[in-house]
Amino acid sequence: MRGNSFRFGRRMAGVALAVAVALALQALPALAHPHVWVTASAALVFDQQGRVTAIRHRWLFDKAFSAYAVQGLDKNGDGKFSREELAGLAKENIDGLTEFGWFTNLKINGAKTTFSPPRDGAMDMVDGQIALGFLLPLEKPAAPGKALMLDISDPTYFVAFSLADGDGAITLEHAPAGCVTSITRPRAPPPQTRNLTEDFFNALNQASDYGSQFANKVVVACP
Amino acid sequence: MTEVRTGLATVSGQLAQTRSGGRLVRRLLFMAVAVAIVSGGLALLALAFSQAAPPPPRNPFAGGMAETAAGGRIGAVIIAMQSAFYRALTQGLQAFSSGGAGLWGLLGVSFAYGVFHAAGPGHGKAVISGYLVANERTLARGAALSFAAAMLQAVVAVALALVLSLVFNATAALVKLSVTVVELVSFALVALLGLALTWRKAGALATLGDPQPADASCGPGCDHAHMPGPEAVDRARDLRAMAGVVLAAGVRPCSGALIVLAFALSQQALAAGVAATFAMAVGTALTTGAIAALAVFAKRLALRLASGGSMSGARAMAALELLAAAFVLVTGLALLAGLQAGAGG
Repeated sequence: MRGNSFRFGRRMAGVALAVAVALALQALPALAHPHVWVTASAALVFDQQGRVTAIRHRWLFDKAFSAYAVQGLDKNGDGKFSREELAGLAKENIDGLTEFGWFTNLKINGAKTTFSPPRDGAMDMVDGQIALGFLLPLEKPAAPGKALMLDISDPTYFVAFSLADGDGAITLEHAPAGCVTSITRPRAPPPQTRNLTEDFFNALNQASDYGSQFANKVVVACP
Repeated sequence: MTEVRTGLATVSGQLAQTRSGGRLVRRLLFMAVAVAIVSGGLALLALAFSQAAPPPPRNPFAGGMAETAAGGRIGAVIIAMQSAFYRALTQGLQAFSSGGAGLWGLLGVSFAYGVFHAAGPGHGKAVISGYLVANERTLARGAALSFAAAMLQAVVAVALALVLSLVFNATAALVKLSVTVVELVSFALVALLGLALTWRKAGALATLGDPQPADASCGPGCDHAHMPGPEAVDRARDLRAMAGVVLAAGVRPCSGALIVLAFALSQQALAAGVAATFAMAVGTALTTGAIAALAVFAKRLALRLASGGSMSGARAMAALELLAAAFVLVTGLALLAGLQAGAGG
């Protein structure tokens, strides 16, 4: 009798295990690997009182996604994609970015900034890569003071953002004298197309560390 | 005399009717319970993981599609591998089109991308493993299903990219719309297949509970699914079910392939893009096949544990098969619900 119920218990345990494995295969949280790579640069636009009024974004997309995004948009068939031909796409993209907060995190003296709807959205194509530019105004202009923190990233990591190389990644327009910008980049440099092997491992390093996407931090301090 | 006989026949007919009526109720009840257990289990798992889970990935850019992969720490490594291989793939394609690299390197990278790309939860794997656990299937059958589904995925991606781009000069927005339609069809297929499987397996479980032994020669009221039909009928039904599995699992093309194909077109390297897509599918088939093998082994283990020919063992097996079938159904419904939520948002 005891052996019998033991056998039954073992059976049920086996069944439960098989079911659990099948379920576990499916129900883990979903993540994506990036399908889109963006090299971002931005300009902080100041007013005469030394307050930041807007961020002027320029995002350069990777070649593969660029080719995908512009297919069928060469209306006049000249093999080039003009600003006019890309205007519709630019508008769609900027509208679509609204619910993602334009992937822009701006904190001034610890307070999170809110934005007004973007202006001057446009796209153009440079050497097979599309670039999206738009001006993102702050709802309330504010002086950076000792700590303005800007972070451009996608928390879901569908879009892999990295800041452009060099000091040109972040510029200050009409900033008061004495403002200092410092950029913290991920340890590995952003992938370049020079060397396939090297690039491969760079991409691997970057992607295996989720924190790295937040390491694209910009801090601006003004006197 | 004749009247008595007719009366007897009516009574026995009514009896058979009530019995089959009871069986129908039991069958539906089993279906409902199985679906409730599976959705409850999935909800609990989702809840348990939700604290660590980041928001679901979505493509913000016009014309782009969302795609899912594994989560967790292992998931992070898989994603890293995927994105590295994907980068290498697109760059390899570019290098190939400018004459700087060989085709084999490109194919190797595509294959590797396929292997890692498929190494996460996806509805294709859910359908195939659910079907394998719900039915007695061999490793070869599991491998064939995985391979066919992966190849179908590649064929659909290439056909979609070619027709939309070359014939209609479609925009990314139109490509996305077509994928959404195909996706809707594939998710509905998953749900339908799950429903058919659940119906069949609930019937098997309901008949198992009957006092009447299942292998006794039974009358016209006998459940069709349980009757050892002629081999030809079995094979036809088998083929239909497997075609359903392949369609449900493989008809939706992966967005990576569509991007790669669009890129190949823009680089005037269409043939290389198509070859890369199929290399990717071979890699996908390898991973899906491995997961299918896991399902086959899990089923065998369960069968061994439940063996002995006793009633409780047979019941446990029938219940497991029913749960696996319900899993396919719930997956299909969840996918459809997610699609609707996405469309609404």
